[in-house]
Amino acid sequence: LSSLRFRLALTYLYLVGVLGLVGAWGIYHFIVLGRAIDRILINNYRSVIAAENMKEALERQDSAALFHLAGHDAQARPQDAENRQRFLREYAFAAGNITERGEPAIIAAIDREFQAYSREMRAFLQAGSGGSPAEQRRFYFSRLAPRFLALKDRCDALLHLNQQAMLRANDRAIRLADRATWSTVAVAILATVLGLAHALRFSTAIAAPLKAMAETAQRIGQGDLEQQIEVRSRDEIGVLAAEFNRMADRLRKLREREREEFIAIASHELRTPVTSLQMAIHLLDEGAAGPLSSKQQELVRGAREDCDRLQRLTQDLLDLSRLEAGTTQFRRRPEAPADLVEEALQAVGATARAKGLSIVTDVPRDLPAVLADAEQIVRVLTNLVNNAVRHTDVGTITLSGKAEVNRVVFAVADTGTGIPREYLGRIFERFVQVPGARSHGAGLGLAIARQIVEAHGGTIGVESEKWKGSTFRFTLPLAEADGPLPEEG
Amino acid sequence: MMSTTKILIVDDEPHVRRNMQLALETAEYTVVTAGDGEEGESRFREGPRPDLVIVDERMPGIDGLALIRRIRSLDPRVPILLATAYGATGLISDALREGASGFLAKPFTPETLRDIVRQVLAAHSGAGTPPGGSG
Repeated sequence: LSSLRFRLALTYLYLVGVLGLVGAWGIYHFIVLGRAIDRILINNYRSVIAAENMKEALERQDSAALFHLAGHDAQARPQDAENRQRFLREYAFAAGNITERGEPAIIAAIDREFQAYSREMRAFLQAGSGGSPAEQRRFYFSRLAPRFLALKDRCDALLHLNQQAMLRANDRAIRLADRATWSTVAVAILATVLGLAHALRFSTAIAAPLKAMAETAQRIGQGDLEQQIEVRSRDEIGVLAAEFNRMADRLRKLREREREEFIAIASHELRTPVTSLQMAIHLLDEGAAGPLSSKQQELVRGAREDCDRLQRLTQDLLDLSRLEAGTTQFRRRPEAPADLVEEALQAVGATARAKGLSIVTDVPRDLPAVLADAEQIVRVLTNLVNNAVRHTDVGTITLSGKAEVNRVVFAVADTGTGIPREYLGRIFERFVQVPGARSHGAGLGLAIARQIVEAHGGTIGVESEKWKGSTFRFTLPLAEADGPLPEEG
Repeated sequence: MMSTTKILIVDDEPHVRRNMQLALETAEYTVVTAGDGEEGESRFREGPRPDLVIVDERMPGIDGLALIRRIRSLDPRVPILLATAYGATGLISDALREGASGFLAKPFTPETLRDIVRQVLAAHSGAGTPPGGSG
């Protein structure tokens, strides 16, 4: 349900919905406006027409009365009858279309007065044969004409009432149309803004992870295979990100395999001749190829020493390559710091004592356990102590351990020749050796130590003062916050 | 007089091969050598069966692991040592699966070679004891 396709469809659906809403809003107002116009036509316009027609019928009846006065009875009677019928038809319509306040009273008055007028008219037309022209004129002007005028006024009132209503309804319709225009514009603007905001949000939601992915891809392309894309959604982009991470992972494994393969080949190519040399020299030395003269013995011993050195150098180089390539397998377990220091001293303590140096250890047994590959950390300690012994003629080598928050700090301090300031920053780089220092190595020991310590999640550093001595410190993370010490042995 | 213990060495490097032969012959072993996997297999088939085979891991053609597999198909019991310059965990587990009895880490000295050979032969000659590895 959270697929991109679904969300895209939802967005379109949303836009279609908004469009529909705007349309419906407009149509609703068209209908309302149309009804208002209809109402004007039905309620008032037709009443206005009826009132006009009633007035005209009355006028025609009045002129029929005048025809009668003029002695044209033959014309007067049918004209009266015809317009009476016409008036009644129009009246019936007006009476059936009462919509305004005050209209019923006017209609009732028209009904009443028309009946009276009709009675008078009938009497006037029938009496015409009997009465004298003067009497008839008097009757017309005193009885008939005032009723005609009054009735015409009533019709005018009806007309006026409906006209006024029409004007009011028209005003209302204009206001309605205005309101409809503005509200439709407002709804359309709101829909546009919402639609834009939604589109912007949606496109950002798609573009942002794609952009992040592109940046990560670029970094991976530059060789940083440790990069991972954060998978934040379960849609197609999330799937793509996950696949991308899997690809980077496979590339990483491939590169690791390649590095491992390279080191394996390098190991073979370097160690095979060393093996051959070492075997030959050792065999010569032990007399397997016949007895040696003392001069020959001397040469072979020299060769043997250098061959051993070559072997150690090869070992260190390959170890450093594996450490740098990250293919070294560490077996990290909780270890007591005191045990690690003790084991290191077993290997190198004798050398120091032979040189007349005293060794002081200050590693409390109750220090919390560290997470360490014992063999590798002992190698680091051994290397540091060996360096200290090599560069110290008189004095003390101190090994100490101290617990800090989440870690233990190990320190190897000597009272030796010290390291010149300009070399302090580079001492952990490979092949860096302090000039004049009496060394037996190739300058790989500290580089290896740094790799091992950093692979354990620790740091290594040095402080030194020329002719006063050096102190190397490295840290190891605690096995657990309150972890128990591992059992002895 | 040479002992009757016969060791077959298969290594494509002539100097290493010769030095190993010399180191083992001074310890009174009878040594047969082969310069590649193909030759190693035929040397294994001819004459009396070797009591121990030392195979170099990296050889052109049939490599160490493939040769171990072939020898194992001919003889499920003969101890086989794999000489390798690079003890990656993957290689070690592969070699053990193919039937290697132990490892010989390059570079090694004549003393180390003799010690390991002695240990493997001793472990293997013990009645019913499985071949022990070292190196």
